Amino acid sequence: MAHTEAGPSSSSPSPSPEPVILVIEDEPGYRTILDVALSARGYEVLLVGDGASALRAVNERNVDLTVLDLGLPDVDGVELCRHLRRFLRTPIVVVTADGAEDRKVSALDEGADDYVTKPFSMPELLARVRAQLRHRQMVAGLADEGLFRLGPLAIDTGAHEARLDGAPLALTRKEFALLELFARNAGRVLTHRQLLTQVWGSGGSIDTLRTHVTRLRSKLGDEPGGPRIEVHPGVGYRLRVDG
Amino acid sequence: MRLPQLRRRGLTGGLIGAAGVAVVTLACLPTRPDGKAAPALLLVLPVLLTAIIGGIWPAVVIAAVSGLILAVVFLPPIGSPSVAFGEDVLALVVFLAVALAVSALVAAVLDAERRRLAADEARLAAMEGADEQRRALFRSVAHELRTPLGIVHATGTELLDAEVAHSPEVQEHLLRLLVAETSRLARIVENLLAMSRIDAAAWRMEREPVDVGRAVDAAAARVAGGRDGPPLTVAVQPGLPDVLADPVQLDLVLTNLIENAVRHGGPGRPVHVGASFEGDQAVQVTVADQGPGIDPAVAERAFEPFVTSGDGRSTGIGLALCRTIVNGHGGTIELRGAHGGGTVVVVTLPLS
Repeated sequence: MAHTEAGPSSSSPSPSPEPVILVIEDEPGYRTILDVALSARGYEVLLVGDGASALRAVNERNVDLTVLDLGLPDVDGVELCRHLRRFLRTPIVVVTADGAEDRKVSALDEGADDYVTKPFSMPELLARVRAQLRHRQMVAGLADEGLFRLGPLAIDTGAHEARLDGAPLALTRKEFALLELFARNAGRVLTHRQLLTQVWGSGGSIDTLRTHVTRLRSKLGDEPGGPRIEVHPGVGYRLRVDG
Repeated sequence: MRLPQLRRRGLTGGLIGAAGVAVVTLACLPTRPDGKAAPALLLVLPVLLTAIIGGIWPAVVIAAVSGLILAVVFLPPIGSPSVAFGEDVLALVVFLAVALAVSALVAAVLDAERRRLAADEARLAAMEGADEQRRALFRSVAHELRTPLGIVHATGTELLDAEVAHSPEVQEHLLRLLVAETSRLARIVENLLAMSRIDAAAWRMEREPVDVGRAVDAAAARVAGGRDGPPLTVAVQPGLPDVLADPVQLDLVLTNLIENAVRHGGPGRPVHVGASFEGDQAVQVTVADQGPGIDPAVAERAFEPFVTSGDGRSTGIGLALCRTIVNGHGGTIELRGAHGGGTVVVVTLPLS
């Protein structure tokens, strides 16, 4: 499983296109285990160890998902996340050291979609990767026209109307704006700051956000398979749609 | 209390005492020639004040001045320091005795109190320093343990995951990774113990002639074993004499340096270890990697314990331990930038 820089990992001649995962990690042990585990699930793994190779890789290949360790030696991981976001529309999952709460939030602000905290279990990381790829597919189908559907959730932005399993949801204007933002970013962890600036401009406070999210959560209910808003304490919220 | 401060306090006390003596003297002038008791009693006050502010010696001076004023100004014959026998001599003696005794008592009590406060402050400062060091140690150790633990956790959970069946080759590969990372954990713990032994001065150096070339080979082989690290080359100059060193401590240094280079040199980049003559009085060991190199500002401080290079990446206690050991052997250790990027650690050990 030894690799050269940015070399494609899997030599499997399978003609079906495997999702390509870019792993930006410099620690040899983590490189090995991430490569082995992701390759074994049928992903094509691009392994790079520094910021310059990462930017080269996203310019040369179509990357379906990026796993980025925020603690690279040669470059600030948050900064790299911002640069990658300019080239990439696909999910970025950042890996952070425990206790680096603020860096996690900064990376999400700079366009990362999800985070995993070290030490992580491999099934946990793989589940995040799968969820990101699935959500991205779901959201990629959303047209920018007024009407879109996300699992059991249907949103009509022109009419300011949302339906869950066909039943209209009674939402205030802010709640609707919040739900639309969540839906367009389904599967992404949105930070408090992102939600506040996009829904309230500069006027909102974290308490306002919290009350609105709580009300929206209760209106969405907790039907199995329905949309759920996850709370990420100290970080933000995420809308998950498993349908 | 520091000397200049003490002196300033004495001077202040003396000046205030002198001012008090002047005030009392002027105030009592109208009572002459009958008033003797009033000035004798009142003059005790400036002496006491001097003792409180300035301590015992200024108080003695002010007491002497007061006694003189009492004798010259208030006790007959007025205008002369001589004093009539009898009652007046007694008054003067009692005055001096009371003034000095009270002053000595007050000064001693105040002094003890001041000294206790100063000692408390010093102890508190020392405790805070030790606390800060302990916190730094905890932080550093936590950082250093985290990476191998995280790799072990991820690898273990992957091996347990029933979702995929890895080939025997891949399984062996992962098991080797587990072994390599657990030996890294063991090394960190070993470093910690060595550090605490050195701190407690409980580790005596057992020097004996050591073949540096062989020691380098052994350490390199141990680090290379079990991991798919970057290529590791060793070059030992032929004919190197033995150095007088503690073999266990020297091995700890070499292993730490080589492991650091392998870890920070960057994936796939070769690490070169060399041992050669440095002049004819010393042997030099170099460990060179081709990693991103080291910031000169960090290079200077890299051997201090607990310096971490941003992002929670720790140079840890490894380099600090190396420096302690090398210096203990009368040698030097330094970090340099290598030609074309990378870092070289240079250890120089004297032959005798």
